[in-house]
Amino acid sequence: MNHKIIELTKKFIAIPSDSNNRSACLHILEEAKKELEGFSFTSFVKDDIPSLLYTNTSNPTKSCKILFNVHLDVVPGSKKQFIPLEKDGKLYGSGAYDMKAAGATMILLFKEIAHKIPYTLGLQLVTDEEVIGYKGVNHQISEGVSAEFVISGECGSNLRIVNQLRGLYVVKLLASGVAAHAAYPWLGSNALLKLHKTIGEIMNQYPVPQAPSWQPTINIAKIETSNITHNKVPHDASAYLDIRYIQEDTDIVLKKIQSLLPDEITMEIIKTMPAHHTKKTNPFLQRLVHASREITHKDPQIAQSYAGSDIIFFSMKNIDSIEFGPVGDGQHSDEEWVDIQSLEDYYRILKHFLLSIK
Amino acid sequence: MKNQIVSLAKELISIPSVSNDIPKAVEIFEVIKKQLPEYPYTSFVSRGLPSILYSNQTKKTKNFKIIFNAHMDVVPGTKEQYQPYIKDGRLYGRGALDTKAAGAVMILLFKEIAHKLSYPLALQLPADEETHGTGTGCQLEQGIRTEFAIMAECNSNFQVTNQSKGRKVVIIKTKGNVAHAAYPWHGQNAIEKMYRALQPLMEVYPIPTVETYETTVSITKIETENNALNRIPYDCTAYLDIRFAQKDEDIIVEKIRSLLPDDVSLESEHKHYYHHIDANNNYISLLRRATTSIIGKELPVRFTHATSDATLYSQVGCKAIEFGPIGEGAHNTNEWVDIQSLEDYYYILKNFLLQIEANAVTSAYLV
Repeated sequence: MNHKIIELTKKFIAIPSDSNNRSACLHILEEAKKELEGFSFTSFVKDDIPSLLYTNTSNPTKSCKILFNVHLDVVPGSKKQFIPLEKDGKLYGSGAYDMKAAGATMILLFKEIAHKIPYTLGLQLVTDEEVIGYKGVNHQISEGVSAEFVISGECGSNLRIVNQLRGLYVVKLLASGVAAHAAYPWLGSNALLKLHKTIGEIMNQYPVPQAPSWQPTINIAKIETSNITHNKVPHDASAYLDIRYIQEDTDIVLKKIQSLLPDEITMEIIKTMPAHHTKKTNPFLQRLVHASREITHKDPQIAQSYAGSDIIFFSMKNIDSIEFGPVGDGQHSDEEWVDIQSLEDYYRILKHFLLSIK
Repeated sequence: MKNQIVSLAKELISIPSVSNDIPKAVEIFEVIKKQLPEYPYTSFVSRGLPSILYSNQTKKTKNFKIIFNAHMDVVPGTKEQYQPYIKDGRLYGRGALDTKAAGAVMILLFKEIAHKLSYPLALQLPADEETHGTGTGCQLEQGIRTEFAIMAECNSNFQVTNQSKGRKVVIIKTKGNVAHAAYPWHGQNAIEKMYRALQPLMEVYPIPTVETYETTVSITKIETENNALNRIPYDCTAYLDIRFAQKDEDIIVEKIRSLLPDDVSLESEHKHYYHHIDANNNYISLLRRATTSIIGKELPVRFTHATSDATLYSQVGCKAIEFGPIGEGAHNTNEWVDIQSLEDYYYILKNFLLQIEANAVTSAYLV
């Protein structure tokens, strides 16, 4: 089996399916279709972005008991990264870890055993996760796709079961001041300076942790002013903050930032994604723990993820979901790899899991 | 005389010669050329924009005893502002004060008297003082020099502006390490680094709450190339507008450098030198005498925080002052110049030029 998984992963890596390369994204979906010939599926399209939902039912359905979630898009990479390379037990290439190898495993496992499974198993294939899957996963959910439990093969989990994800707020701070000729700064009120001071206070409240830490973090992603002349005191300035928060802080973090703002600075929420938490006691999650123990003879870790992923969309519909993928590293970098032995374990754990459910 | 001045000023105001509008600059110079058919002039072009220099010498020269300078461009105004009108002894319109009416005085005075003077006198008319200053700048670059220039600048209200702050633009850059925003411990945020870098600088140069003659530092722009909000920015650039006092001229950039951490880069662009002319300069003395004899008042000297084309003369080692009529509302919607002051301005400048003529035989006195 391992050989087949690696061959299909290599085929996928060679297709430069970055989220904006729509023809490559179509191409990779076609390759997946070839593998899954004979199974019933539903096609979805939102704003020209296609996605698929395969099921093991004779007629297409949108209601699944277990749903595998796979994104086949990648972030843009160099030409070299689209040439897969096997070395020292690792498979290198764009998307090897994030998450074409996990995708190939799920596709081949579905193909092998879906017909033996007495309940509805779904396999969801999307190509817009890297640009936030509004047109893939979110669209499918809004069209009625549902499940009792979702497993996403997202990277970062390394055969741990990720049941908590931080949420996201993107906010814009807008400072207003009074313009003046820069030779007479006392006649104006420098909006940029006000914003600068406030940013300092936010940084002091939320210092960047030196090591991974399960707490809110804030990235000051952008700062700008509409002022273009250097001899003018700017009358406006804005900053964009990317705030990652843990579920317990959902209602706290924005209030805290608001309390740091002087009157001349307003806050606008630009984007919001909920924090995610599927309880450890979820019976399907426990089944996966059990399957993992059977195969690896160890208790798998239940873990947290600092970033968001498409499973957030399931969260918003109260569908329990976790991230569970093979071992690797270097996602979004030039040195992305997946551990080949872990793919075999991954395949066997998922298979055991699926067969253990009645 | 008053009528001629007002009539020409109105004609100039009615042409909306906003800085850098080439066709309007050409149009306004055509009006001026009709006024001065008997004098030779040199045309200069900078950035595609014309400027001219009238001379009272039949032989071409670059060296003048006195230069009158009035810029013929204006900042943008409303449509109504280009329709000048008179009310309560004031002439209203865009450029009435800044500096078309004073320019009209200089043109008419030059027309009347320049040919009677034995020393070289020039009338310099740029069309981009409000933005670039390359009109006056390019004439100086091409070697135009003078012993003394009078700039018809506004805000001087029968005062002599003999000092103005210098200006530099300092550009500070920080570099960080890019990373996904969800994993900030993997990266280093260049905007945060900029905040920490600027902090000590802002403490040493806080924004003054009242007018000051000391050096001021204003942050006018901060930016990053980062456009992905889920990414830790790897670069940040801040622009500082520095207005420096004379004592800081040679040390300001070093001082700012010393307040910054080592891993931050700094570039500085020189814009204007500190401008200063001794209040007892002989030509200022003559202008003072002329003012007293025409309007019976003292002529005070003043300082300005902003720079003007006068500082361009400083940079090439020439003396220049700002001296203009009475008015208000430059760059404003309600710009006006006092008509009586225009006539006074005319006679003061005339008296000034004639005193120099009288003293010409004892020119050692002036040098």
